[in-house]
Amino acid sequence: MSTGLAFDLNNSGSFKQIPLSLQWMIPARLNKSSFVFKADFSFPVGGRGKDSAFTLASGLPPAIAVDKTTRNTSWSFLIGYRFVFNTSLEKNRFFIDFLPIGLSFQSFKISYKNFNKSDYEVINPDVDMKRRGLVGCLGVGYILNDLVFQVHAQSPILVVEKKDYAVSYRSAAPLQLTVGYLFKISKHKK
Amino acid sequence: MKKALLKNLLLIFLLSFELTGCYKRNFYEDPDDPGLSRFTNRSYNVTSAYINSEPWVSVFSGSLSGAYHTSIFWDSTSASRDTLHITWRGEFSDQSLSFLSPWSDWRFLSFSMPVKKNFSKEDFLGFNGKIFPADSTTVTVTLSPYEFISPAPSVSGTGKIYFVKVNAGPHDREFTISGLFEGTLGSVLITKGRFDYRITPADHNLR
Repeated sequence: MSTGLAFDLNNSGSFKQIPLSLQWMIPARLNKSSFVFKADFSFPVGGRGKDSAFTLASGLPPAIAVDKTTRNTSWSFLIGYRFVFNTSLEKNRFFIDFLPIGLSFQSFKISYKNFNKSDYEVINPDVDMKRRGLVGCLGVGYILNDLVFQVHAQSPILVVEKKDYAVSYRSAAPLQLTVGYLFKISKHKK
Repeated sequence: MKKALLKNLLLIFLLSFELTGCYKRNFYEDPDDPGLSRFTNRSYNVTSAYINSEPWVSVFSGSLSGAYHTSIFWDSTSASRDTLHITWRGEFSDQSLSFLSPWSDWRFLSFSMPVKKNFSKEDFLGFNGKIFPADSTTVTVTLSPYEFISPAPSVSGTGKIYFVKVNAGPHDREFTISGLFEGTLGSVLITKGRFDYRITPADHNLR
């Protein structure tokens, strides 16, 4: 189980998230390569941007820049293989994750702040959107005793359902930097 | 004989298939102004405004005909100044309002502004980012049952129009325009108006 910070590479890194990642190795062996299941839930950390707004009202500037916040919450479930490379030090290992297929559910919420909505109109306003689809992921990590340091790069959603109204943001491709802890769940035989 | 019939049927089928896929209504409701379109500059070919607080939206004639065009008419008949008329055809979202008063069923909304003599398409491109009236002139707003105002019955008043974006289009004599407008026509108030159009050579007479 690990957490850290994620930067959305498909949106210029402007949207950030705090991921919670749960990884399960099957069979559960730390010193050998094995299949891995990865489930992520990511909390949004507001991505800030600017849009333009205009008004006809007398006494107000006809054009202003308005603050826009984009909050992306996402779930993803991936399966693949973890290649483990043992080092000369006991309990220290490198690994490479190859997770070629998974499902991602992404929800974007947009809010505009600090402007007079009754007088100004935002041009080409972004709107909330939900996206889901297939993704892939690659990652590397280092295990130091029971601590795990990882970097994972997830692809954008491979086939995005086309929406009629265009928005300025694309599906997320998070680059996760996480630190976690290994929990060993052993089976007790009676 | 049968082959020819089949050929003709196939041709009609393909033609109708081609035509039905031509136009799509690009009306996306503004959540902050219910009944009105979002303010865009994507050539969605839509105008909307509140007229006496009721949503009034440009006409979309279906996938065969598309959105009713914006008419930009340059009138050079006056000796001192030319006039530019911009006209949209729309209707109330709530059709029952048509019976409230005569003007409620008048579908053409026009903005008429004085411009310099020999006004050209280059001058129109110079409207980008400009609000009218810009000086001591007056922008006349008219609701009329016909596209060409005179001599039809109409209600008139004054208004403001903001050409937020006016850009040259992909082809010669084409423009993309988007902006905001408002007006007061006696007891008729036009508020929160917005437009977003691609103007083709057939939509204007600018030189």
